Parts: sequence; C-alpha cells; structure tokens
Amino acid sequence: MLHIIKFSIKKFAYMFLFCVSLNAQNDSIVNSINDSIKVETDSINIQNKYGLRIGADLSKLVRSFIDDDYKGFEVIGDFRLTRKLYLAAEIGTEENITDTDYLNVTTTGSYLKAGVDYNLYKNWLDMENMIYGGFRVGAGTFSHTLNNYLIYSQDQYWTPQFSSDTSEDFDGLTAIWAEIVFGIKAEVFNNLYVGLNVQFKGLISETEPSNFENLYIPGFNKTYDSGRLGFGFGYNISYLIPIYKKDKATAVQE
Amino acid sequence: MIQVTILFSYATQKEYVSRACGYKTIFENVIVTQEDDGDNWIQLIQSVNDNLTVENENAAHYKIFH
Repeated sequence: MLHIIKFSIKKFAYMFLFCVSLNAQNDSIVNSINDSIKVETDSINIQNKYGLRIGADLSKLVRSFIDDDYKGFEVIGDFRLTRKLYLAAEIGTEENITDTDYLNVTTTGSYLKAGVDYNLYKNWLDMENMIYGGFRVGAGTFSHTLNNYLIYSQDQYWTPQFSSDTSEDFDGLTAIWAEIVFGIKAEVFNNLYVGLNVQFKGLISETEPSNFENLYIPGFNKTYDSGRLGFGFGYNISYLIPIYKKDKATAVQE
Repeated sequence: MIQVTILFSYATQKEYVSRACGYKTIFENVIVTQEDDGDNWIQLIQSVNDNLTVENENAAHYKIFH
C-alpha cells in the first residue's frame, strides 16, 4: 500500500515537474518571439544604392543595322546625387542621310547632352525603379555634305531641270538646344536597367550654313520649317556601378 | 508662218529655298538676242531690270516688241 502511495506521489511529482517545465517552455517561446520581432524591427533598414550608371542607346544601334541611311551610337550615364535627383549625360555620334525629292544630304556629327533627372516614382521597399522627368542642355558639332540636288520647278516646258551630282560640303557647324525628357528606367536584373524615354527639344542657337539649311542636327534630330521644336526618343540599357549605400529613411530626411 | 529664233545666254546661280523645294536657279547676265533672218519681225528686245537677272518667276523680265 505504501508502495502504491509512494508511486502515485512520484507520479504526481513528475506530472508537476512536467507542468512546470511546459510552462517554462511556453515562456521561452514567447520570449524568443519577442526577441525575434525586436531584431526584425531593427533590420527594417532599407538601403538605396548610389553610384554611376552607364549604358548605351539600343534604338540607335538597332536602327544602324536596319536603316541604310542612318548610323548612330549613344553612350548614356547618370550619377545619383540624392534619393530622387540624378546628374545625367549622353554623348553620341550620328550619321544621317536626308533624302527628299530634290535634295540628298549626308549629315555627320557628334553631340553632348548634360542635365538632371528627377525621379517622380515612389518605390516600394528596396526597389529602385524610375519614372522620371529631366532637363538637358545639348550641344553638337556637325557637317553636311550635299550629295546631289535637282532644281525645283513647276514649269513643265523646260525639262529636264538642272541637276547636280557634284558634292558640296558645309563644315564647322554647331548647334545648342534644350530638352525636356520623360522616361522610365526599370531594374530588370540586379544593377541592370532598361529604360525608355521621349525628348522634347527646343533649338536655342545654330550656325546656318550659307545658302543652305540645317535639315538634320545630330542629337537634335530632324528640324522643322515650322519652328525651333524637335523630338526624339531613346531605348537604353544600362548598368549600375554601386559606389556607396545610403539608408532610405535618412535619405528621406534630407 | 513666221519662224523666229531667239537665243538666251546666261550664267546660273543656285539659291536655297526650303527642305521641300530644295534649290531654285537664278539666271544672271541674261542676254537675249535674235538670229538675223532678214525679216526683222522682232524689232526690239528690252530688259525690264538693269542687272539682267531672272529671279522672280512671277514677274516679266524681258519685253519683246514687234
């Protein structure tokens, strides 16, 4: 009998012990959850990458292969100044043939555009995409070669009209223009960006060739008789060389 | 039936007009003469302007009297 009582006491004692130990375990789980939550709140510390992003305009490359009248290449680059502001520049070279019913002109030249991009897109967490607006000042040097021309005439009596195949050069021409840019840049792989943009240009000054006109200006593209406006677009691929990281939160305070 | 031959001698100069039209020709030192056929149906060929150029295609440049 005593044996049985002893056993049951032992049993109770074990049960009690187990109970305690179970309670203790629950406490430790709660504690560890609290700990891990604390650690997590500390680790929500999103950092933005700052650096130099360089790339090339794919549309000009593709057009060089497809279009016999065009050869062009443009290197693009930007440097991140603050969370939203980027210093941006493009440098390029182009050769374009303007062919109309009465003129055939080859324009060759190179250009430099510099300015800023401002990111209008509020990124989620650590994403670093851009929907941006920008401003550029562009300058280019170029020359035209008038390959051939045909005299325009409404008179059908004196035909054929005079035409010339003697090429004529117009050298040492320059132009300065301003641009407003709208575009997107998306990070498709780590540090690799693909972008699309449109450019609205306004010609500030140009050297007019004597007895001719700048029909095409490298970097500015086609000129129009109606005014000083010009248009362009770009499809580019670029790679970010990260130089340093900065907290997104502290960057917000700036 | 009167058949008269007149000769135009000139030097040309091209002038840029526009992207769509390209160049036009300006005729300079235009001298108009008639071949002497003994009949002299044309009595006088007179230049309207003094510098003998043909630039404006909508205006008369030479008057031929008979």
